[in-house]
Amino acid sequence: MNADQVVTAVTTGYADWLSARRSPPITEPRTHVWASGCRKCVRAMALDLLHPGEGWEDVDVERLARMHGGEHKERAIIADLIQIGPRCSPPFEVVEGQQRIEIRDRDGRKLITGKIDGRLSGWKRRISFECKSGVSFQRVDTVEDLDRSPWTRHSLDQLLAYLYAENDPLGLLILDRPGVPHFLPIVLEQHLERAEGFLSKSRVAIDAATGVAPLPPFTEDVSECKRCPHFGKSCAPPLDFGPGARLVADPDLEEAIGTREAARDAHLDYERADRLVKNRLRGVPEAIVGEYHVRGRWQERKVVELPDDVKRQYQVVKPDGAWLMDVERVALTD
Amino acid sequence: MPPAEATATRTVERPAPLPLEIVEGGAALPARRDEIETELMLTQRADESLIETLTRLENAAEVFKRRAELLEACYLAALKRTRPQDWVLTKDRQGSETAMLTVSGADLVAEVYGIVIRGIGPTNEKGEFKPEKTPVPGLDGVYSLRAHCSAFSRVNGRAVELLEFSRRSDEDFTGRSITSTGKLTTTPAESIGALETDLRGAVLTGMRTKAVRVLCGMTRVPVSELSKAWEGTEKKVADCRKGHGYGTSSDRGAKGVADAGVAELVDKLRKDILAAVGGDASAARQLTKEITANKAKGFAGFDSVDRLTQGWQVEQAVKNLKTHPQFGDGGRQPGSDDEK
Repeated sequence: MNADQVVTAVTTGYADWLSARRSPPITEPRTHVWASGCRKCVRAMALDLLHPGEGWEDVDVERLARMHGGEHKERAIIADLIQIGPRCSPPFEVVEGQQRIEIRDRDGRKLITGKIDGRLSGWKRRISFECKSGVSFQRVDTVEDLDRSPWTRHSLDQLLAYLYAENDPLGLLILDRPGVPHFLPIVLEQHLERAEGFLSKSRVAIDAATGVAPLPPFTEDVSECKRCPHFGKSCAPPLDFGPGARLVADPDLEEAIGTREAARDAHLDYERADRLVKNRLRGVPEAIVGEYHVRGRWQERKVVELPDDVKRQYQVVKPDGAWLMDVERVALTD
Repeated sequence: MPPAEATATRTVERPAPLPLEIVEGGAALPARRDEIETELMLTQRADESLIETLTRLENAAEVFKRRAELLEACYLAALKRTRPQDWVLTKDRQGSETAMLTVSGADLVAEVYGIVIRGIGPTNEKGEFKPEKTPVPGLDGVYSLRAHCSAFSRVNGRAVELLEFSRRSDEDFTGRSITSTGKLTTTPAESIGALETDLRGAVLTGMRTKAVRVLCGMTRVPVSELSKAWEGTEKKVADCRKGHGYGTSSDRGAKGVADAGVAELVDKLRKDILAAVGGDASAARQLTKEITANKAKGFAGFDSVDRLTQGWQVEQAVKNLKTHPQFGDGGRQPGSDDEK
């Protein structure tokens, strides 16, 4: 066998092994929400209960490999914690791994179920933890970061549900990354409203799934629909492609754009030349260049120099911080 | 002359409607109340229409002209956003070429025109999307799914009500389908039809594309307009996919989308095949089928090397010819005999 054949054989074997160990997708409707199933769109949560198989019809090998990698990481982190516990000062133990959690309604109706990854027992308390891995989690440093990505948002709701169910005031999200995992503390009291929000969303979803109420309205966040497994299957929301191009018949504006485009090349030439001149003659107080007499001087500038970590504290990302424009001429009919 | 936009948005003072007294059952007014109300509503609608408003303006012609120019610019801007792979060219008997927008380009165009699609149905009593399922007569197990929607454009003001779209379960559009036991398969021989959720998704996608095409006038776009919109860019009409009117699918495949350099490889393969079978045309056809077949995918093979369009296809066929039990050389590599 040559190198290519060896690679092909091993890759195929790996893919077959992953496919073979995949458990069949759950297609039976259910009447309770999984702790990891909190979504922005309540309608999608209801459809998750009615059509759990949608989106799982054909899972490709890459996705299976990612899921396998996640399980593997989780086991590795827990194994490490078991080793670290007795050596830590003060020591702790890893207990209650994969313990089942249930949240019921006042009338005893099952709302949310899940399995907790484990608890750290020590320091005269128990701290529930949940391990998460994957590229999306590698960029997470704070609780706010979790909310920025649709792929990480649910993990906070999941841990909060566990904390709420067990009345634990503190939990830990253990986020795998190259090097030491990131331990992100989650305080229930700070997110109590959110935890209760998950419960009420679950209640609405279950009502719809059991036929007590109609399906909740469509979400207004179109980006949610684009990645939803029910889109185009059991759910067909209205599609809005935005306001469209604004037709502006303003001769002044038209003229200004025309002038801007006509002067574009000259502007670029000026910028290029200006950069070259300033780079070459920086710090030269006086020079004669060909026919030109150039004078320069230093100008005082107030600068606030801060260490990077302090700068980061004040850094805010504004989605509408800058406005970029591309102007292109559309050929008109004669 | 004032700017057209300012003129178009100027409020026009309309005369107050004439007072109308409706006498129930009166002989002087034989028309019934609902007829009169309908008449009034239609009069009001006509009164408020854009054309009515514009005809009252002094510079209506100018407003119309500017509006037409802007819509033309919008149309060309939308065309400019699309790429050659977003179009399928068709040619009629007279040889005139038109292009039809496909799904990949529909979203690009829809953003320019501010398309809104709503009222997507039918839905079941729970509110889930449930297209109408109708068996296709004469074809056992084959059915069609039909859905409808309403749509409008925020830019050109066009609207369409109850636009319908349907797809049949025996259409091959995703490359995967189901077997008689309900399992997913990519082998055509095992397939009994599409997976229903895939078909539903395809109906929605098709309907969306159709709505965009209808509202933006992109069902039959003259090729000259595409060329004009793409002027000064690297996009070329010649790179668009060819559809009806451009010969058979195999001709289109070989001539239209062949990898660079494939033609030479195909020619060489043809000569090798003919040499292997001693010039016998029917044996060459049979051998071509055998070396291009893919049993794992249930593909019986091509009957002509002209249908090979991709480099890897030719490469695989050459490999299969070398290892063919009757006509191949047993897969010998240079120097492999030295080991004996």
